[in-house]
Amino acid sequence: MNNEIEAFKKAYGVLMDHTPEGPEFKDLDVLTVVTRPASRSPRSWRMAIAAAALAVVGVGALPLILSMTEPDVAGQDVPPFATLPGFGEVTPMVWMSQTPGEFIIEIGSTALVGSTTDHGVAPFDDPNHPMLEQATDGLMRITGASVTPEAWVAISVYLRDPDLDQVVVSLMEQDTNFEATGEILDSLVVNPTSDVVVGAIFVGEEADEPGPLLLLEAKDDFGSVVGSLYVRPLPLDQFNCGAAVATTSAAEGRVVPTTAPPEMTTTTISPEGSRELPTAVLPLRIACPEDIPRPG
Amino acid sequence: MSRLHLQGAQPDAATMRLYGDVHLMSGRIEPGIGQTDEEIYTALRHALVRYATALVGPSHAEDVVSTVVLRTLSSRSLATLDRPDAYLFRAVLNESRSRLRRKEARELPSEIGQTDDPLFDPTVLEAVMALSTKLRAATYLVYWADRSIEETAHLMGVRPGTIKRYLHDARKALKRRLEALSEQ
Repeated sequence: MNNEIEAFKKAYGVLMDHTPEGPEFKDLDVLTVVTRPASRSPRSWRMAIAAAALAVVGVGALPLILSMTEPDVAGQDVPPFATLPGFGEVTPMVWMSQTPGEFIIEIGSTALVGSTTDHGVAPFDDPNHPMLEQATDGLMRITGASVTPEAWVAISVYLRDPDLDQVVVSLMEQDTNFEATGEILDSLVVNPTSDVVVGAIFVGEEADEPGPLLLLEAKDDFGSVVGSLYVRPLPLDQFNCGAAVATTSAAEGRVVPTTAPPEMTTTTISPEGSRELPTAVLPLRIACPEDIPRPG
Repeated sequence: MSRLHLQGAQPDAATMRLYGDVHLMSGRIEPGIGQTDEEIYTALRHALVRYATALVGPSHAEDVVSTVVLRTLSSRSLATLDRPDAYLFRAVLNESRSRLRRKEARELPSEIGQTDDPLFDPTVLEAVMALSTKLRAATYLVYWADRSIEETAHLMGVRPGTIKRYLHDARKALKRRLEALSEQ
């Protein structure tokens, strides 16, 4: 053991010999402007993505309502929206893709890519799918399809990040008030390799019948849940798309609605017994298709 | 009816245990850290840059730190944080991990590893930098920066037991990697 510790010390010692000074307070923004490329981040492909119609239509649709933080100022990141235990700083963002109905939810270092179509199931289980390639910095990819009655929503989770210990994907039942009942419908542990999960959720037959919540939980090496996040579908009449688009970023294809603070709460979920998790439920909103600019 | 299944594998039954609040230490400001954003940043600047260097290498360390600090300042004052050091350390770790995922910070400059110490093997540095970010974060804070397990846990936002596990895994991984390199 001592040999390894000494090896670490020597390695870091060498690194520290080359440590830069670090910018002074007055130079912080100067350094950022100078060192960053014009495209700012590898996510620049998203800047070119047209905000296509999110075709969340039909009875039994699963609209994911997504919200964001303040509009991005060119060259700067969107400030964190919240700090979620286990997930760290969270900046939920939504990007509309060129493929009809596809979207990406990025939460801190976790990117969830979803897709909805106006009919049928959109299987997304191909690990070589181009959308996977485009979101390589994402931890997970989740796709869903809004469906006609009795149809299914395909959910696939593709996990890439070797640093993440585990993510548990669960489906939690909602009642007719769109509140979580606590009953876990199904649950699966996804390991931080290239696991691809393909599953399906039966959304429901009526417009006001809630589909299940998607519950994501990050776990540490010991299997302890260190954070959880709900993606909550809302009923169609709460799909408040009109107020969701911000003008400054609309041209870039981003959707920046007015924000509501996240609910930081403890939620009791109890498949087998009383259990509470520190949980943030992010109220998420998305723009209506007609409000979203398309590429010229 | 719903189902989830893992392609090519049987689904595991999830056994989840409650994880307590990781933010156990609060209400303490490091002595002498300052009361204004500039004072706080100045007090933490070198420690943050060194930490970022251990995570992403010297070429990207300053950018990581400036990004993190600017991002923080755009929405809050450092002086309003109970533990600005812990907050910024965690943010540096998250930003570093994010960049490494995007492969923005993979290469070390060629001059790294050149040292006058005849006993230093540059493959050691290579092996250390090949470890995952969280293992390097833990080993840097404990073995180089002499932080206690508890303090490191707080700076990384995890439990002390997790830090011990990280250190164990890091030593094991380094040993394995060095053995592999020596066989080449």
